[in-house]
Formats: sequence, structure tokens, C-alpha cells
Amino acid sequence: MTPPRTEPWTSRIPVQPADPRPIWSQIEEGLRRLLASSALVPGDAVPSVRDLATDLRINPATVSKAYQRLVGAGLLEVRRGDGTYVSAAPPLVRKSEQARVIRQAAMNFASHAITHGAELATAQGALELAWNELSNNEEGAGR
Amino acid sequence: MNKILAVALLDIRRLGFGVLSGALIAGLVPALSRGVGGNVPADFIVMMALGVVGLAVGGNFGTDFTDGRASFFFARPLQTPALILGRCLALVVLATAAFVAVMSSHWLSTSDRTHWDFFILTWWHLAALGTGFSLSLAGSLNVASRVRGDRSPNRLRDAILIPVRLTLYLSAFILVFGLFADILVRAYQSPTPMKLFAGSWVVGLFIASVVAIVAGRADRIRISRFQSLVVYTQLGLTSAFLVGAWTYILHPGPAAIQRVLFVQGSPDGRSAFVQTTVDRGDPGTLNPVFVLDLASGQARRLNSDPWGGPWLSSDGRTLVWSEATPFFFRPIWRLLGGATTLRVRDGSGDVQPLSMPAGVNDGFQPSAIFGGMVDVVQPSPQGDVFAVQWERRLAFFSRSRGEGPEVKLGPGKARLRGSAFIASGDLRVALVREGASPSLVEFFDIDPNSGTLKPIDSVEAGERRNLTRVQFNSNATLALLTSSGANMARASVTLVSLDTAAGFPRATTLLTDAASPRAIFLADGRIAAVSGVRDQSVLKVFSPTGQPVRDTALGEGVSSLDGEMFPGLVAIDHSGSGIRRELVLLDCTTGSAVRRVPEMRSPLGIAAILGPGQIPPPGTAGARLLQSDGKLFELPSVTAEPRLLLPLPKTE
Amino acid sequence: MTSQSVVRVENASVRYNKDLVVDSVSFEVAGGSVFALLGRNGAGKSSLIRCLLGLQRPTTGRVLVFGEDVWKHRARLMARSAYVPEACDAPGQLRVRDIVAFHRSMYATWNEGAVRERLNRFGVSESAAVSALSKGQRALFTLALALGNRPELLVLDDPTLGLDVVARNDFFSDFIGELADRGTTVILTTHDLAGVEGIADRVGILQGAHLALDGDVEQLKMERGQSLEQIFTEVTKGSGRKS
Repeated sequence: MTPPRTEPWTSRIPVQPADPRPIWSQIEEGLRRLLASSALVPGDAVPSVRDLATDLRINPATVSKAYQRLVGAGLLEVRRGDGTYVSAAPPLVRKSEQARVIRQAAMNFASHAITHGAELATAQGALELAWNELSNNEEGAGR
Repeated sequence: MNKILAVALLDIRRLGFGVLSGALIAGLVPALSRGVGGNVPADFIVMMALGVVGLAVGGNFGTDFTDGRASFFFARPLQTPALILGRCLALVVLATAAFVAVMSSHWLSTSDRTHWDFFILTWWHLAALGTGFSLSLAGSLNVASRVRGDRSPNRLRDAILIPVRLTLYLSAFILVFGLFADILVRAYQSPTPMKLFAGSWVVGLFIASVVAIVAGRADRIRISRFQSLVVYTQLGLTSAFLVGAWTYILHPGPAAIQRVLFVQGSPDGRSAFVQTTVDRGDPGTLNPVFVLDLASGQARRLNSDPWGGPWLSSDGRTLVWSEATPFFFRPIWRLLGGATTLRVRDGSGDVQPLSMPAGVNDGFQPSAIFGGMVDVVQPSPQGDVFAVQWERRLAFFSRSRGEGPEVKLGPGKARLRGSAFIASGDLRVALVREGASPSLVEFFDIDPNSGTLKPIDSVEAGERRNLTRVQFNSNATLALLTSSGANMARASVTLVSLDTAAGFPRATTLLTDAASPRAIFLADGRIAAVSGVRDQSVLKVFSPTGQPVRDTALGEGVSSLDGEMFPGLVAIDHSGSGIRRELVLLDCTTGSAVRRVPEMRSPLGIAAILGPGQIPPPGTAGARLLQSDGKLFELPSVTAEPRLLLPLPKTE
Repeated sequence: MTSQSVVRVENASVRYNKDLVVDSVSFEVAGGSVFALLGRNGAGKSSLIRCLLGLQRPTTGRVLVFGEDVWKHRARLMARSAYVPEACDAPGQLRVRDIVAFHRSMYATWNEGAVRERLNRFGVSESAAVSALSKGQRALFTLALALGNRPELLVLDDPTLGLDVVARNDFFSDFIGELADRGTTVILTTHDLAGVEGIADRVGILQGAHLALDGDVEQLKMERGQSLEQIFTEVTKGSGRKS
């Protein structure tokens, strides 16, 4: 089943070309967020490379790169002749792999916070906030 | 092939409507013009129509190279030759359509069905088409390939370079066209060289455009560079060719002589001046002059204008002629204060220009533009003074003193009928004044230094109204007046004595019934003349005082007296229907014909007309010349066979 | 797509009489990538573009397209390429269908159906004269023609200049479709920096007749922490050609 196209993808995956972060990275993150907030659920179809590129007005190769990474991470799967879909089940990741990914993300987060002069408490608070937001979305989408 | 057609189709679509509608309307013009009383021939309309088609297609092609258009053709898999061929194909198709349209509407609009003929297409029509195409292509291509230039002009460098370049261009232009004009005027009076010249430029411009397009494609700098390259190369080649052609055509050597037209023996008898046709140029136009040394047989070209001169002093040392400098350059040369066309060569071989009389340049006649023309230059016996006659005027020039005085021959219009330098250095002249009553022949002595006239004598003209010539004897004490009559049989010869101490009548009429008055002084003072009409000519010999001495009948046919070839022997030209032309040498003392030379003429008869004092003395080589059928001979002696002089005998 | 460069510019210079407009510029464009050539007005972009298509010969240096010198083998290489000029270069008096017919005979790979479909979609009437089309229609017409031969290389000179929003959108969707379907190699010049930011893989900035900057867009942005517009402004600061 396809997600209701109530809003164009440009607002669901906010990609800012002027943003210094690579566009493929912005797409990847945007899709991850949608997945995390259950706006996209397993089995949903994601737009074709061409459609998303057209909507976002970016190079399809860039979209293609983001999709490839997500496919590589097991979050998306390509069905020949059919399109690209959200993977049916979350990837079985080895505990060690999971730990490594989490630790890397934490390192990133921590270095960002420290270089911006935040205290540990502030950082922890921000983390909780984000977790809640994503969980709330999940609950909201489930309805 | 497909692509060539596609290109052609584009052009046809762009221009087709305009060409067809224009041609249909143009075809109506002859009929319409006749309606309003004009006459525009269909031929002309076809030529115009095809010219316009050429202009349109060529202009279209060139403007497709402007910035923003060139990519349409060149950012395509289209080979450049295919592009060019496609446009040429369109040209042919459109031209054909235009031709048919013009002829159709012409045929429909006129009742003149006889001219309905597809084959009225001539070279002129195709030339109009090709010329229009080539010129407009070259022009529009040039304009389209203008690129933004130097942004920081170097003013100082420009200030120097631009005048230098302009001068170079102007000089090249003048050189090219000046030489070309000279060749045309002197050697080819037909339009063919002009057509070839113009045609070569049309073709050259087309080649320049094609080369530029193939080498430059859409690169405008390269296009203009290659166009310039080809055009300058053509200019260079044309200039080189023209210089070569001018040198070759107008400077032939004696070996190039084909026919001798005109001969004049020199007054010292040692040379002959011949006017010839050569193996180049148009024989009717190019007639180079050669000086033939009669002793050695060597001929050398004299760079002389073919009219007037050359004139030699009677001591044989000083030669005057009108130098055949290129016409086109003469006005410029004169503007720069340069010398005019007369040249003098003295005994040492030194050549100097001789100034023209100042009055020669007056007026708007072509002769004024192109250096003026003098009628006669008469050197004194020693060649130090020159009496120059032109347009009924007379002036003296001296080599040592330069331009001398002009002689006032007035009042009224006076014609100089004879002149001779006398021992005192003065010039003795015979003048006839127009409108004077009674009409007189007046004799004067003119001082070359002051130009003043000293009257000597005057004789009534009377029957001698149509005075043709006055000849003086060797010391100018006697004069022969020859005049033509109102009708054929009334020509007269009169002997005038200018030496009052001589003791015989001033004027004695010798003949009154000559068909053509030919009379000469013999070297020993006697006078010979031919009188009578056809079949009844008589050679009359008179004593130095005018007494008849002997009459000799000359028989059937027409006889005319040429001159004294050997001392005491005169040459008579004898011809007539049914009579073979021959030269008869007649002994004036005995009256017998000592020699007949068939098919020959003597040039002595014309010499006297040409220049006073230019007659070669009898017995000298110059007097013994014979002409026949374009060849020049010398008669070594009364009995010898004529010896061929020109055209140069082959030395094989 | 192969990683071999489809276009390689080797030390190309362009000189107009005394003006050195492009000075020893070198860059490569890999197959399937999008290269944006940026620069202030009059910086020499158009001259360089002309050299890429074999329309102009660089004063020194050479340009290789599909591995061959494009000036020498222009006709052959143009069969696999297409050009979208800044302004429509077709003769104005001709009709749309005449121009289409001309292109049909030029290219062996001509896709008539796709061209017709595009023209329909853009609202360009086949019987209209080119000069009668609106500016936007003309631009879309030029694009439709350019895509008609299924080019491997697409060169665009300021393609969206003067287009309104709708025309621009139409343009982009077709354009991006080409990239997605065939991985067409693209070289374009533009002033629309925001628009090109998402499209371009690599960017080259012409400044003072030199290629002042040449690199991967995302990499440059990450290294400098700036948007493309900011990078451009900084690199071309205080330039502008003497006019």
C-alpha cells in the first residue's frame, strides 16, 4: 500500500541544497527519520528515483546514492520491475554492529555538543526530547 | 545525400515564397512597361530575377554565421561540405523556379508568344546568378564574422599603422587597376579582359567564402581570417600576374614582330622607325614602335606612344618621342610635379624628359588628363632646339635653356602649313590665316629665343584655298605649295621663291590638274611632280627655277609619286584594276624606268606628311626601304633583290 | 556509466584579438555526471561551451569528446551530442515541423514519437513559426529538439534564463528524466545557482580567464561549510570583467 500523498515529498524530506551537508546525506537522514517516526512503515513504497529527483529538483544520481546506502543498510529493498519499498523487517544487526553504530552516533552527537559549549545535562535533555518526539510520531501514525 | 537535401529544403522553405511571388510579379514588368510606353525586355528581367535570387541565397547563407545562429548547423552531425552543397542545391532549385515563374507570367501577360523559349538563358543570366550569390555570401559572411575587437586600443600604434595601411592599400589598388587599365587601353580594346578580371574576382570571393567556412565553421575569428587570407592571396596573385602581363604584353622584343604596318626612314637615313603588330595583344590596338638600325639590322623597341613621332634631328643624333608611360599614373605623376611624356635622347645616349608646353594641359579633353598630345616636335638640325606644334600653337624648347617662348601666331586663327629650320637658327614657317580676306600664305622667320615673327613674304592663296602642304627645299629659299582642288582634277602645285635675290618670279604655278598633288624637291634642286588623272598620269620634271624640263607618261592605272629613292631616281607607286601593283624607279633625267619591283611600296610618300624635315636623303638606307604585305625590305641597289629586314629573319 | 571522462579539456585557451578570455583551462567531465560551469558575465563560459561543441577552435590546447578531438571530428561526435543554446538558434521564419523534419534527417537515433509527445505536452504547435512561439515555448522547443536524438552528452548554455516558473518546472522534469533514464552526461552553464546546486555533481568556476575552482559540489560544500552561492560569491569577489 502506498502512503497517502497528502503532502509532497519536498516537505517530508526537507532537502536544502544550500545546506553544506551533502544532499544524499540529507535524503538519507530524512528517510531514516520518516522510518523512525513510522511515517513510513515496512512494506510502504518509496518514490522512484526519478520522481523523488523531480520533486526535490536534484540530480537523480544523488537520490540513487542515498537509496543505495539505505538498501545497503537494509532499510529499503528493491523489487525488480516493481519499485523500491521499505524493508519488511528491521535488519537483524549483530549486537556488536549495533553497538558500533550507536557509539559512533553518540561520538558525533557528543563532539557537536562539546564544541558548541553545551553541558552534559543539556545534551542529555536534548536527546530525551528527540527520542520522545520520534516516539510520539510513531504513536500518532499508528492511529 | 539525405542531409544535403535537408539543408537545401530549409533554404527553399525560407526563401521559396518570396522568390516565387517576386518572380511572378517581375514577369509582368515587360508587359506593364510596354503599357506605359517603356520597353523593358524579358531578357533583362530574367537577369535581374536570377541576380536577386543569388543575392538572397548568398545573403541567407552568410547571415547564418552570426553569433547565435551558427550553432544551428554546426552543433549537428552535418559535415561542412554537405552544408555548402545543400545551399548550392537550393540556389539551383530556387533559380529554376524563379526562371519558370518569370517566363510563365511573362508569357501569360504578353501576346508575344514567339519569345516563349526556355533557351533564352544565356551566360549573362548565369553570371548574374553566380555574381549575386558570390558577392552577397562574401559580404554577409564578412559582416557576420565581425568579432568584438581589441578592448584597449593602442592609440599611438593606430595613428601610425592606419595611415600606413591605407597608403599600402591605395598604392596596391592604383597599381593593380592602373596597370590593368593600361593593358586594356594599349593592347586590348575588347571587353574580354574586363570580363575575365571581374569573373576572377567573383570566383575568388566564392572560393574565399568556401575556404573560410570549411576551415572556420562557426569560429568567427577563423572565418574572417581565412576569408582575408584568400582575398589577399588573390590580390597578391592578381597583382603579380598583372605586373607580369603588363611587362610581357607591353614590352615585346623585336622577335615578337609579326607585321610591319608603318615605316618611317630617319632624316639621316641610317635608321627606320617601324610601327608593328606583335604576337601578343590585339593587333588592331597594340602597335609597338621599334627603331631599326639599317646597317646592322638590329631592332630595338622604343617605348613610344604609337601616335606622333618619333622625331630625329637631321644630324641623326637627337631623338624625341612620346614615352608610353601608363596612362593611369600620368595625372598622379603630374600632380607630383613629375615630367611629362616627351623624352629626348641625345647622341651620348642620355635620356631626359622634355617638358610639355604649359598650354598642352588646358581644357577637359582626355588628352589633357592623359598627358596631352603634341602634334609635331621638330628638332633643329643639331638637336638643341625643338619647335613643338600642338592645337595650332607653336612653342620652342631648348635643352640648355628649358622651356622657351610660345609664338603668337595671331591675330585670328592661323594654321601652320610648313616649317623648316634655316641656317641662321630661325624657324621658317608658312602660315594661313582663317577667314582672312584676301586669303594669303604668309612666310615668317621665327627666332627661337624670343619667339618674334619676322615677315618674309606672302603669296595669295587664291585657288590654293585648300592648302594641304608647304614644303621647303634644303635651304628654305624655295617652297612648294600643294593644294587640293574643289574637284578631283583641280589640284595644283605652285613654286614660291623666297629669295628675292634669286631673280625669278615669286610664284610660279607648276600644275593645276593633278588628281592628287604630289610634288617633291629633288636633291639637286629640281622639282618632280605627277599630274593628270587615272590612266593619263604624267611625271613632270622642272628646273630649280620652275621651268619644265621633261614630261614622262606613266601609262595605265594610278600613279603616285613617293619620293627620291636614289639620287635622280624617283619611286612611283603604280597600281590599278587589272594591273599588278608595282614600284617603278624612274630616272628623272632620261625619263626611263630603270627598275620595277612588284608588290612593293615605298614609305617615302608618307614621311613628308608626318614630319617636316624628316625625309631620309636619297641613296641612304632609309630612303631605300620597301614595304610589302606586312614585311619591310631594303633595296641595296637599283639592280639588287630586296633584302628582308622585318619580321626578323629566322636565324636557323 | 563508465567512469572514463566523456569530455576532457586540455589547456584550452581562447583569445579574441587582444582579449584572452580563457587561459589554459583544463578539466574533465566523467560519464553520467553533471558538470556546472559557473562564472560572472563575460567570463568566457560561452566561448568554452562553443569549444566543447567544435563550434570554435581553442586558440591553444584541445577539447576531447568521447576521446576524440571535437574540432577535428565535429560531425561524428555531434551525432551523439546535443546542444541547448541560450536563445533558440533556429531560423525564425521556419515552422516547428520544418525544423523537426530537418533534425530527423540529421540523426540516426532520432526519436520522433518522444519529440512529438514533448511538444504536445509543452503546448508547442507544429504548424507555428518559431518566431511566433513565446520565449518559454521556444526554450522548451529547443530542449525537446536536443533530447530528440537521445544524446549521450547534453550541453546547455544558461537553459532556464528568462523562463517562468511553469516553464522551468517543465524543463526540469524532462531534464531530470533524461538523467535518470540514460545517465546522460551534462555540462551546463547557468546563473541559477540555487537551482543547479542539487543537480550538479561537479562545479567549475571561471574567474579571470582561469578555472578558479574545480571540484565535487558536496565535497566543496562540506570543506568550506558554505552553500554554492556563497562559494561562488567568494571566489568571484571583486571580479567582473573590464567592460
